Amino acid sequence: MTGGYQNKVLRVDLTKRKFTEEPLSEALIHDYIGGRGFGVKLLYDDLKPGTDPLGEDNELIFTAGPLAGTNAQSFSRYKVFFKSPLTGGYFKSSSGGQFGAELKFAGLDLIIISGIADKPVFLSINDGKYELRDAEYLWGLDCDDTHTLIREELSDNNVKIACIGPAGERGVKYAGIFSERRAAGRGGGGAVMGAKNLKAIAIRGRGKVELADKQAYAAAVKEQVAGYQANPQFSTFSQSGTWIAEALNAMGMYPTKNFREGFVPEWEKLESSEYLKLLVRKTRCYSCMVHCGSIAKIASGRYAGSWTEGPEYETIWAFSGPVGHSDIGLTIAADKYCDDMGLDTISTGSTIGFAYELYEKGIITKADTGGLELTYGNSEPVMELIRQIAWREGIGDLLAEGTREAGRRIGKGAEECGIQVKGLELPAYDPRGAKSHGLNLLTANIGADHNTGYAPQEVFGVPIPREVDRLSSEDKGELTKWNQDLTAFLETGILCSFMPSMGMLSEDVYGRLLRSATGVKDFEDTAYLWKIGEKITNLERMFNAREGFGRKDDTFPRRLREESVPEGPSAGSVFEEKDMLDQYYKARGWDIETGVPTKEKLEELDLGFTLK
Amino acid sequence: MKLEVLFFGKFRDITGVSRTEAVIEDGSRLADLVNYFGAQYGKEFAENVDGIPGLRILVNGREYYLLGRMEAPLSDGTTVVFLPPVAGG
Repeated sequence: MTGGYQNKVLRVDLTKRKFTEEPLSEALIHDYIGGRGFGVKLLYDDLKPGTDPLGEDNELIFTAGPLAGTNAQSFSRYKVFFKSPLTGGYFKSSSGGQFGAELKFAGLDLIIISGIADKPVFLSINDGKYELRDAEYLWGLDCDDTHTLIREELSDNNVKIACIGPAGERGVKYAGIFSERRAAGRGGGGAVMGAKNLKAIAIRGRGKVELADKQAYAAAVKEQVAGYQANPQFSTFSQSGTWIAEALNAMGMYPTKNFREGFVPEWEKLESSEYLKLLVRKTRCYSCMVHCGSIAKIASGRYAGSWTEGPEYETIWAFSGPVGHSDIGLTIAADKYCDDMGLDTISTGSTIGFAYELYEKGIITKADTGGLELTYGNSEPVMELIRQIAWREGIGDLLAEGTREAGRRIGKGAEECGIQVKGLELPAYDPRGAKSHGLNLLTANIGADHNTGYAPQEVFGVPIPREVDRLSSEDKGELTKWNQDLTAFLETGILCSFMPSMGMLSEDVYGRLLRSATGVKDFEDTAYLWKIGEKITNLERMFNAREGFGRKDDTFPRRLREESVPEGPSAGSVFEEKDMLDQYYKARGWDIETGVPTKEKLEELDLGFTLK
Repeated sequence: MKLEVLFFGKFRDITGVSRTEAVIEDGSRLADLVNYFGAQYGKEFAENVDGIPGLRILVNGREYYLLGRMEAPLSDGTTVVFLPPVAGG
């Protein structure tokens, strides 16, 4: 029997207020497995080139993987796919929490949303019953209040919700989708949802996920759990989660003052030991024994009384490095504020750091900022800037476009100050301090995303598959492909990306979990899984190629290519972009001139249909 | 020669400091620095260097295993970081 999947796709046309159920095709299951495989194939098939990201024809595809809702560990995340208003290309964003498992309990594998509702609505899904309910009274509310009021309206505290805040409603290009303080944050999925007049999706399900071979599945889960417990990083990660700012500062690759320095002053104030003092309690995603999440609260200083779930490492960085100031209270308050407003913390912090540099250079002045003094070391304006971005007020209206578009509009050299690739702002790693990690940021199909091919070899010193020198550009093309393709096939099951980065789950156990849950024999074959990983990356690239993307878009701002890190443990390093891109395209079997897969590569991966 | 040394996690517990200076003989290697701290803070220091799986030791920001592990050469002004494993991001 086939298990894991619910064999049901829900299509929602918001314009026509129409719901359609479809079965999952066997070919889609076999050829793409699930998660990221389903997302890219469906988006490629459904969207015509040139589709307006904020128009009626763009889709939002929500999916949970075949193992979501089971007792396998760390597999109950969900992903969202769409054409991004920030990059103009293919996008994937993902989130932990409880929403993914609930989607499965409601009997669904996928929700595909198209069209635009004539007025604000929220989608209610309750065990096969689908409704579009009025959301005019919710419009303008923050994410926390939206959760509360929907639960009250439905008289159900167990309903699981994914929603947008004011930022998504106002089309902030990096607005995210939020579910119980967890975020599918990057790329502007919140803006796509806002453009569709869709405030939220509320799901309640009481079903369960069947398994093809219960006995084999139980054995594989047992092996997974034992692997977690035996891993040297398990207990540290359980305790401190992603509170790792000290490691990146100690390596001199903590981007500071808009990627002009490698560590932030007084970074000791942001160490994990300091956050542990503020820990209130631990949190976790559905069926995950790691419980890496934390509730942290600050009880003194300017931000006394603020609390948040997190902040994750990226967010700690976003509200310290970009403004050149270490204030633990701000990292907590700004994280919660972004969650409430529905903003991606990485792009928000990076865009604020961009504004600080423009202010320093006199490209913008107090007249533009409404009197705010954006001087490095002064983090006081940050909360006000977040507010202005979320509500598109004052300079926030311009910053809401992201650094690439804001730079274009401002001109006067501002274009050079946006630290982004394909329009997506770089996260909390200086590519000059970790070359494979950087090469991934450069080539990831969604723009500068760390999770597309995280290089734990360089960032954490994890010697899998081999030991590497983070500062060397040698032999990084093949390694980057390895990290990206591994991540791609692990994201068919939507495994949390932290696990492979720590070596906590082997490919072999992953394959046996998939096979025993679904009954599909090929899923146990790791060679097949690697092929699917490569296939996904290539199909994503072909989606973008159809939109006009190519080698010209795999490029860092001049700063990272030509200026070296000035001091610290990464001092003197620049990113050798041309050489590394050549290495990468060669490793991928892509055309070195265009950065696009060759006909031979596409046919080898059964992607010949993209040549039509 | 004089070295700057940063301690994290368990090493901070053992030494009671987050950062210190070490003055050791010219030509010393990483193993000599570990012995130096062993003499200062007791055998628990060396035991943890050997015993923490995935321990990172950064010598001027580079992994010690790329520099000859415990034979990694040190020089005046070098920064050494003892960092128990972290993950995530």
